[in-house]
Amino acid sequence: MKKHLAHIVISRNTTLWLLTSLLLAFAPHILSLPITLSTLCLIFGIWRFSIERRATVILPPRIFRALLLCATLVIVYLHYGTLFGREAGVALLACMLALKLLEMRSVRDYIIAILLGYFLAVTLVLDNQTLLIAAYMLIVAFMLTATLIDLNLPQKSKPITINLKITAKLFAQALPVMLILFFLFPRIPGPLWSLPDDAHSGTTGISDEMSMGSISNLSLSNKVAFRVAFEETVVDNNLSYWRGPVLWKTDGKNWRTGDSAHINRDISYRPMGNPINYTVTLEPHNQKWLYGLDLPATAPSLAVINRNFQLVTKTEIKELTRYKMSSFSEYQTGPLSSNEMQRALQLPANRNSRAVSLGQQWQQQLQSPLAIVNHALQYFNQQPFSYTLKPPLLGNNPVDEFLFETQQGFCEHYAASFTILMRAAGIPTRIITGYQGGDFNPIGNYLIVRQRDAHAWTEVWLEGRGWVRVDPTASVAPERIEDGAESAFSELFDRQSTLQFNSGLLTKNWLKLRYGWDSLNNSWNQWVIGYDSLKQSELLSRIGIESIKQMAVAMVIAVITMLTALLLLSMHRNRKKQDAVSLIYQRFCQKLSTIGIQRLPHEGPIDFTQRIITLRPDIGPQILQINDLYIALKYRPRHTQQQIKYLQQQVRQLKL
Amino acid sequence: MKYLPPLIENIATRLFNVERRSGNARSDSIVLTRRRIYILPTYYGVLFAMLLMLLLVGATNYNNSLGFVLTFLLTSIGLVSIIHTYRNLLQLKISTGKASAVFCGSMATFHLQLENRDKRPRYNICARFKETSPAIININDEMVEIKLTCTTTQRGWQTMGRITIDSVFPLGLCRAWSYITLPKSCLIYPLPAIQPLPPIGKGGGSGKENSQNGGDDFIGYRDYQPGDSPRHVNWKAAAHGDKLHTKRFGDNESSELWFEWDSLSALETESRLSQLCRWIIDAEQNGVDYGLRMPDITIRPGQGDDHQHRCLEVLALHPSPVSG
Repeated sequence: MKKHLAHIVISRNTTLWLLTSLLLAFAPHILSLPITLSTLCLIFGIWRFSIERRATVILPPRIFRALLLCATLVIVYLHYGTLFGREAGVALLACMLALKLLEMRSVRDYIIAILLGYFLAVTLVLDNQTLLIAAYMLIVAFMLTATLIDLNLPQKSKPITINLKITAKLFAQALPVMLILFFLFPRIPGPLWSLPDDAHSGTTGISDEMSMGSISNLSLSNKVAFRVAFEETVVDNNLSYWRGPVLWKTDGKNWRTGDSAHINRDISYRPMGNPINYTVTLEPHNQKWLYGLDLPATAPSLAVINRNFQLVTKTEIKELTRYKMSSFSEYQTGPLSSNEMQRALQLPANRNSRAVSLGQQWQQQLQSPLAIVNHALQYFNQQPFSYTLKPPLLGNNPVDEFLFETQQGFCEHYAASFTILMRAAGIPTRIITGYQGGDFNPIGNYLIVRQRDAHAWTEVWLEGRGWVRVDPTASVAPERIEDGAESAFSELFDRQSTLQFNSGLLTKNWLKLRYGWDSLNNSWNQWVIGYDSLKQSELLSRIGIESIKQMAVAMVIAVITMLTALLLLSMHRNRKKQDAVSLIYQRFCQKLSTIGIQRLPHEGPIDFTQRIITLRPDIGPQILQINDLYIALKYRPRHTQQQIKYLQQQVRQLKL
Repeated sequence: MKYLPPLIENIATRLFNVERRSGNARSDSIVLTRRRIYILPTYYGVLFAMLLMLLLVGATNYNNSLGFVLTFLLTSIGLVSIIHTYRNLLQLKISTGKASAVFCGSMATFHLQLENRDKRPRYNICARFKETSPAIININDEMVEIKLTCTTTQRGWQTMGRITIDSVFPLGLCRAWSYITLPKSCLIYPLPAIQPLPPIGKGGGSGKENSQNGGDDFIGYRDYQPGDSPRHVNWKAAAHGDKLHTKRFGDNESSELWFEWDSLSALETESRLSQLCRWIIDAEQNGVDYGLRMPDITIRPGQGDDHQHRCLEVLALHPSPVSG
């Protein structure tokens, strides 16, 4: 079947379309590929471009191309240590495509290059599925399709952008069919086989370790961590603690979860007040836990609540995940096991000795643990501590240095120092990491929690009350807790966005725009990115489609209906309306055919008239008049209704 | 065929019955209706489908929604393009135009009118006889004429062979085609022989008939015809504003030649026809009146394109000897 395209001569324009669309597909990869490979690919592209500008297309010799192929393979192997896996695969695809440019000659080569181009387009969305990258991918697909159409257009059929017009039409008509397929195609929960190790990379977020500075690193990131839609009312900012990993074990510098084996099923606490119900849409963070409001009461099906009241999952969260939760903001937890008591009092030997002795001193001076806690908070509040995103670097005894020398720190400094002080004073204490606060989006009616809202706080165990949340940061920078990270560092964030608005109105509109944009992103996440097999069956069961078989049937019926409608509609719309003048002339021809004078298909009106006159000289004058009128009406732009009437009259009066 | 899915079966049935449906022998125009158009994926269509499968597996494996978006977008574009390809031929009207007579061995040219009766332009329509190179056109406005040529091997009427009209537009992923046969024939004259007409006066095999007059005697006037020697034009009369007239002489170039079938009895039929054909062409070129005498028909001497055509037509249609 190849021979049907064999006659097509590939024009220069087609090659230029192809090079442009492949450049578009390649552009986002330029920075992520090793510099040698990006450069090589670009050189190949430019090479082909310069070949195309010459009078005759002369491609580099085969042996040379084979050498280039080996060289690129070696470079990819040296850089990635493999030729497989995701990143090496993308690099290989880009290189093969670039090499293909140097051997493209036949229609087949061009089509293969275009198909590989579609593949390159899909690699753009492997890590990044935002609205913008989706739009970009669609542009790339559009350009590639336009190239394919250009390849199938005869060379002389220009204007040269006619292919864009046809592509636009094709895309517009394909859109409804695509939506049907997207929503109805039965989704199988992936993966079908185990993914390469580097399948999901480039995710950020809180880890299960903390050291001085690890959270402040996150604080410059505006990336969304998760979004929360509350069923009733939005929780107050000062209660909005999103619980992540709980850290017990320390060497004085770093903090770890410690024994995570202590997952105990019979966790219990006495909830007080009403539960808060909400749904979280968590961005992938590649960790084995979910975030819930302090304290989570019910776990979604994919997670369990462990003894630390943390929501842990079996596998890493690698995709956008949606789950329903309920939590209690007031609670009372039970007694502490001896093991937990031991872990909650653990102190590293020979480190931060000044802090430890301060804690011990407080234990002797003050009677109750509660008094010690309050004293410590006062200490932070009254001493010249400051809250900063850029704390000075600390050495081997970071808590000592922070408490007694620098006194500038971020939440993790306060949480860590507080914990050391409390443990030294004999109060069981642990650090909780997670997020605090968030922006409420009034347009979408949900809370956005970003990476910059990452936070660390502490819990102390008090006899009779159980674990009690204490946030030492609040004593230093209460606005951080009340109004969120953005207001605490408003100066910094403003500078970061390089937009400084003096006018309140402008700021307001800017905020509105930002909320609108995030709201759009949220819907995008809910309906496009988060549309998986679970959501599909949830949505489709609402309209009575329960099984995969029903989905498939519904999909096929809907697609066929759509295509048939498209076919019928376009056929109906495209039929030419014959104008009045042609209709009258047609009647004239019909009239003549009754006396045996047929107009031949190739005969123009003038030739036809002449033939009639030779055959029937007697009606010559009338025929001539009709001919002149018809030609005048048909081929001259301006004519009146009266003239048409006159022609009609002439034809009617023609006596044969 | 029982085990094929209905769609494939339908297509296959249509394919195998192509001849029966491929032409309408009576009318000199054909509209490509939906029953006449076949459509199947091309090699590239199959390749494209394989790409889609790969993308689908990839998107499922990585659970990547945008991967699904692209996969389904391309699938839909592929599906919609089938309609475009099909519509590109649908309701196209093809009618025959002129087909001028040619000598055997040269290419016969058939003119075809392709009429687009829709508002939408049709791109990349390709028409061809079985083995010849195709004519590729876009039809933007109402009617386009294309010329298809085919080889000729035999004198007589050559009917226009089966024409394949196809299109892969817009994406080249599927091909719609239709076979049409139209009742148009092209007259093929015999192949002219190599032996030219002997110099006039010496008398070829044809025999020369000097009617009543011999020598250089002036025998009258006739209307001037291109090719007549200026020496024989009656310039005096022309100067008075009359039409041009050529003087006719009994024994010069303007004498009548008779080409006779019987004078070539030494040759077999086709060679005789070829020889007569050659003489007619030569005589016409030399501006000599010539007549043709065949066993069953006699054409009075004359000149001009129509006369030549009449003579050559007689030769072309001369019955072949029944062999055996």
